[in-house]
Amino acid sequence: MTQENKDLNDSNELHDDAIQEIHENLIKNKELPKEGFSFLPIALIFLFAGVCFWGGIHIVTKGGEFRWDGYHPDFVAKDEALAIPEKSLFEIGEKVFLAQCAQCHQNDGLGVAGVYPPLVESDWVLGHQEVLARILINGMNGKVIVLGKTYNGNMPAFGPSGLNLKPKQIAGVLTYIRQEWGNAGSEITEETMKNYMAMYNARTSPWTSEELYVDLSPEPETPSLESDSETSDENNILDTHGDDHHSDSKHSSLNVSHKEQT
Amino acid sequence: MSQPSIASPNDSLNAIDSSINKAAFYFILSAITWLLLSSLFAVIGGIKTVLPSFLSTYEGFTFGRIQAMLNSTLIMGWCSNAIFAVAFWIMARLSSTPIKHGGILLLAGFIWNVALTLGLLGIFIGDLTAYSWMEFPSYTSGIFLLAYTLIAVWGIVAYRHKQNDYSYVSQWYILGGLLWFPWIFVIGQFFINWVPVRGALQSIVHAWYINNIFYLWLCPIALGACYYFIPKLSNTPIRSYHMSALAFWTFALFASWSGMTYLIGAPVPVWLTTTSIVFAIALIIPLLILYVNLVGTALASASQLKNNLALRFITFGSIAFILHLIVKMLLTFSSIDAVAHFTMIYDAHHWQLIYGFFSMIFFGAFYYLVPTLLNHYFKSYFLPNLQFILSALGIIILLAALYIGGWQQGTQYNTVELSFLEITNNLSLWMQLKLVGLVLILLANLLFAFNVTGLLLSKLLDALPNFSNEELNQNT
Repeated sequence: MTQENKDLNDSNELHDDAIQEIHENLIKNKELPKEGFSFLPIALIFLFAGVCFWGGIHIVTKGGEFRWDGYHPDFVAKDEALAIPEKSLFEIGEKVFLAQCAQCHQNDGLGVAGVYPPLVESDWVLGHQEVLARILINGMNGKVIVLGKTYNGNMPAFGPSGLNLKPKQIAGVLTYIRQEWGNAGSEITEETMKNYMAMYNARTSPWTSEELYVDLSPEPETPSLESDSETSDENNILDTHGDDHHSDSKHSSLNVSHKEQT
Repeated sequence: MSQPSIASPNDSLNAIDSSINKAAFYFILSAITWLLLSSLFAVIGGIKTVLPSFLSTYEGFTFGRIQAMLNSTLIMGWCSNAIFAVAFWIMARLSSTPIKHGGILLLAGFIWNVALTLGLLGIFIGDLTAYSWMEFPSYTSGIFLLAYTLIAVWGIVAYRHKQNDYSYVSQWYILGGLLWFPWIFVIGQFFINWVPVRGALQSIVHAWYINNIFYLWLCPIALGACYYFIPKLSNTPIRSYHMSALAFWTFALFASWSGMTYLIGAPVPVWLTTTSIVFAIALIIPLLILYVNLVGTALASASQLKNNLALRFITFGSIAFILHLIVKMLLTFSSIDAVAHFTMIYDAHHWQLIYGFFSMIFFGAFYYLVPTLLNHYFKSYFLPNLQFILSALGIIILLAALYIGGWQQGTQYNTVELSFLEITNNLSLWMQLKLVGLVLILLANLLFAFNVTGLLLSKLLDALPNFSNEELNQNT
């Protein structure tokens, strides 16, 4: 046996029971006063406290506030971030138009000669909101003259007597056709549409072009127009060309709302 | 040296040793077999990164499958079998209780290895899963679990029936590892293979699984072995032993929480990675204690270190582990992670844990355990010493190649002007160096197998002539 073998064998190593006994005593006797000063335990306590302190701050500042949607260490929660972004009337209307209307009126809104009238620049589209609402809710039959040309087709109903769209969808599709393809009509709000549907849901027969302009209620004003008119009223005091200014501001506000929605 | 109060310590020790003898040798030999196989896979993979056309016409030898077979043989083959051999023996020794039902242990070990063989064949024909370190096909996981239950229960029973009042820190680590493994294994298999969770949750479960297989299965057992062998072989009590309990609990808590650092920057809620970063940094507490407890004790006895091969292996492993944890902390810094993510640095980090730490500890443990169980010692320590040098050199070269090459890879990934092909070509020097390291490791492992089986054979051969001499005497 070499020296090494002897080491492995017996003489110079701790016995199993000795390992346990010695270490058990080490634990029991650790309270005994010792000469000198053990640096490590004190340092460890400070280190532990430091790690806890730093860890707490780090988790709070870089932890994405424990949210499922916080994916970056610098995530800051916003309250509206949780809400599903609401689609504008224009977007809703675009979807409905492409699904329901584009077969006849075409994607470009130009219609088909003689049968399906165009929506681009049409007075019917850009005119009184109630006329449009009536057509959509109950449908329309018979001859109609649009931009100087005569059309004869059947417009189906989209209210409860027909396809039964929701007020918001009809408001959307009307807003869409009034603001797409360079049209610059006002928005038709969901609220307005609800009022019209309350008035015409009961009617079962489609409209004819003569009936449509009879008994119209005054056209509702959209919120953006109201605020615009207020500012223009203020301006009127200063501006001598009040009327021109009014029409200008109305036009520009529509353009702005169009841009926002597209 | 203080003698224990038991009447005849050697007899009881022999009883304990012989209770586990057969099972231990079965596990030792199968661990060595898997080790050789794994280093063979590693070298094949290494050659393929230098010479991509090597064996490329065989579907089973494509790089992905070789890598999968390498990972599986390492974790389920070499590491687990080595754990069953060494941990049970330490547990029995420290509990002064023989391991009961060694026959069942043997049978269960056989089932375990059948499961692994089946898994490797499955990977070879393409049944592997897409999750690294758990690539073995899902149909083997049930067999693994059955075998594990039959194996682990006897280690826990031995602790339950311990003959003395003491409970030493090695026993906590081994008991912890034995109890944590089935939980990790079942959760990982359940949520990834049996009832797969959806989307990003899979990578969360996967990161948790890898991390815990490493830090709650391999590490506690290897640390338990360190705590057993270092004071024993250096003949010195553990320095600052009273803090080892703190190290045990903080390590178990912090390491198990630190797994999501694999997912820094991934599309998972950021609180997961941030919490893991905090816990990874908090590993500084157990790290310091482990350093003082293990490395401090081992380095204090320089003469023993010089004379004792097993202690040298184990000290090397302990230092590798301390460095591994430091690298783990560094990798959580976002500026470092920005370079290191998706590079070979993570490969290096795993190699450092499995070969630099775990394997070195268990080489040392085997060099102590095998002669003790056989009661037959090496005539010359030349070859075992040579193995230490080869292993140490191999792992150092491998880690240097992977860490430095990985850093170069990462900085070049962040350079917009360089194409992926150029970056890969620039790595060829490091790939060749990696292959050198892997070849050295293969040679070292071959030498290790030669040493251990050689000792076993020489014991058998020693017994043989005596027997025949007696026979001859009787005949004459």
